Amino acid sequence: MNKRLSFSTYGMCNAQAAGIVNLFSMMELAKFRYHLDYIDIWSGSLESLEDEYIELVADNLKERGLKVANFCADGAQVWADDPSRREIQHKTALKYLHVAEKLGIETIRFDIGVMDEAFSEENFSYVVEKYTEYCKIAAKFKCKIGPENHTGLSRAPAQLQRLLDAVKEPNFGLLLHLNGWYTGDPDQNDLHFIQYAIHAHVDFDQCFYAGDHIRALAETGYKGAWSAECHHTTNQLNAIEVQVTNMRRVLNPMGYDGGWKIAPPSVVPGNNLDQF
Amino acid sequence: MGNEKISVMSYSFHGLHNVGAMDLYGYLYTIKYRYCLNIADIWNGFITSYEDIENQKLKDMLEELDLTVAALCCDQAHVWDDDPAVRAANEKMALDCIRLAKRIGANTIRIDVGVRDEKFSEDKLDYVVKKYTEYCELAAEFGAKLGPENHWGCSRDPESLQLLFDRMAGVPNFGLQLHLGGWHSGDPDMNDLRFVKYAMHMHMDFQHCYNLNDKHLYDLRDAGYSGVWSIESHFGKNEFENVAFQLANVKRILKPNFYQTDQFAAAQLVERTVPGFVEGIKVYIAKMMEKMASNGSSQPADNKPKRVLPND
Repeated sequence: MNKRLSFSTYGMCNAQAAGIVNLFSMMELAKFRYHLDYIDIWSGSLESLEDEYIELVADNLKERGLKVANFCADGAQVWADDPSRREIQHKTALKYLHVAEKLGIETIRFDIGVMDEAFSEENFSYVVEKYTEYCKIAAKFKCKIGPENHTGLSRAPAQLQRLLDAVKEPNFGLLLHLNGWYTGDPDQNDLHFIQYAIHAHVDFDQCFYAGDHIRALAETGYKGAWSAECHHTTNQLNAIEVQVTNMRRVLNPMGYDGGWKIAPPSVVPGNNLDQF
Repeated sequence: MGNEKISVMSYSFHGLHNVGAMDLYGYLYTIKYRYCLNIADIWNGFITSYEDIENQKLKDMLEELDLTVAALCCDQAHVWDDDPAVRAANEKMALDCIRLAKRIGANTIRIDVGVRDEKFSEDKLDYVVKKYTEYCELAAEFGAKLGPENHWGCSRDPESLQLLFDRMAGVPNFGLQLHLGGWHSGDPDMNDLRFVKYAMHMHMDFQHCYNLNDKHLYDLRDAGYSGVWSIESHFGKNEFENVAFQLANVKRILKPNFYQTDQFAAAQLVERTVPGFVEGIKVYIAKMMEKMASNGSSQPADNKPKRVLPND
């Protein structure tokens, strides 16, 4: 079965700020330019969280046959040092869960929010408790939830491992941001943590140089989507096409081999080299 | 910048063609509807008949799809061959191809030199010049350019190719199908730049498309190249995906869309549904900067492995 490919609308945030794309035109690009069946919605691409707007989004996804592989939900990180800020983020998370249910989203990323190098006992137990609560809500609509190793202590492998061990919900997992680690061997960390992965973000370089590492990750049995995430701040539509096409080339090659066994006789008569 | 014309040569799908999964018309639908191109570059390995009735069918489909033909690349039509019988058969093929090019309105025609030695002998050079001159006269009747491609035999030797162009200097529609990097000797990029002034069409293989150093393509464009930038893939496998990637990277380089936005553009988008988000991001950045300053660095450590270009 072909590996599922997607792109994160975050990768077009600057184009969106420049006014040349919005969530609906991004769907058009996903379907007809990038030939994708999946899209990741970054929360900044949503103009509103009101039901009327979300229903319009759902209608447009359905028309194009697009599924949402992941909801990258910013502003709903679990922890904040300030308790009032924490409460605001919790309310945002609940709103996002409602949006995710309406859109039939498969996975949600809520960041941990702890910016120190290690969990304290206080923030660890709070984070475990909240992720557990969110997982139970998301399980009702068959959605998976987890952090992404791309900011704060989520990039520290030992801390992330501690969290993944502590949250016992079956739909808790990791949005694996390839090579997004502070310490250790990045490729080895990816290969270790992919067992927890519910989704994967692949940045421009990881896509451009896609080869043995991505193949090795794919061979672990990972079933989630491979999503092109672009961090360039300009020329983004072109960069994302490069990312998606190269991932497709590497992850979903066709099986035929129609290469020359004997070069065309106009090139070199009798040549048996498979080349010019 | 941005007006560069891009195409894909049908040879790029010779593997699919060889296994029976793509014919000439399939190629046209692929470039039109999969890659959204409006310029075809036809290798005659996909041509099954040079009869007028078949040529007319092809012309009708090109018109239906609103495709122009940047190049007709003709194999087994090379001007010189040591075997006189092959030479004669090739001449017939060359004339068939020129007639086909006229029928479908091809802008350029590639007919190879055919000399397999590294250098011309005098008699071979004379013969080749004579034939190219004849062919160019025929092509000029319908406004097409015609010439060799530096991709096999003595066409890959810069000095031999220069000799040929010097001898053909009086024929204005004689041109080069520039195969980037297709040289036996010398610095490939410098040779490309030296010969780009003769280029009527261009072929870019996988390695030339799969290159993060954009400078060479910009240098060629700045040298005044105004023909079509055509993708060529040689693998014979996984061709739909290989070509898609080649095209995407060439478009990224040759047809970029640069815009500028505020440093907090992304955060401002989130702010629409999460009030206070921009302020939160500013606090986060300040905290990170403070942390990095205390570690004595101005940037996060880059511990990512350095990857090499896969050669497949």
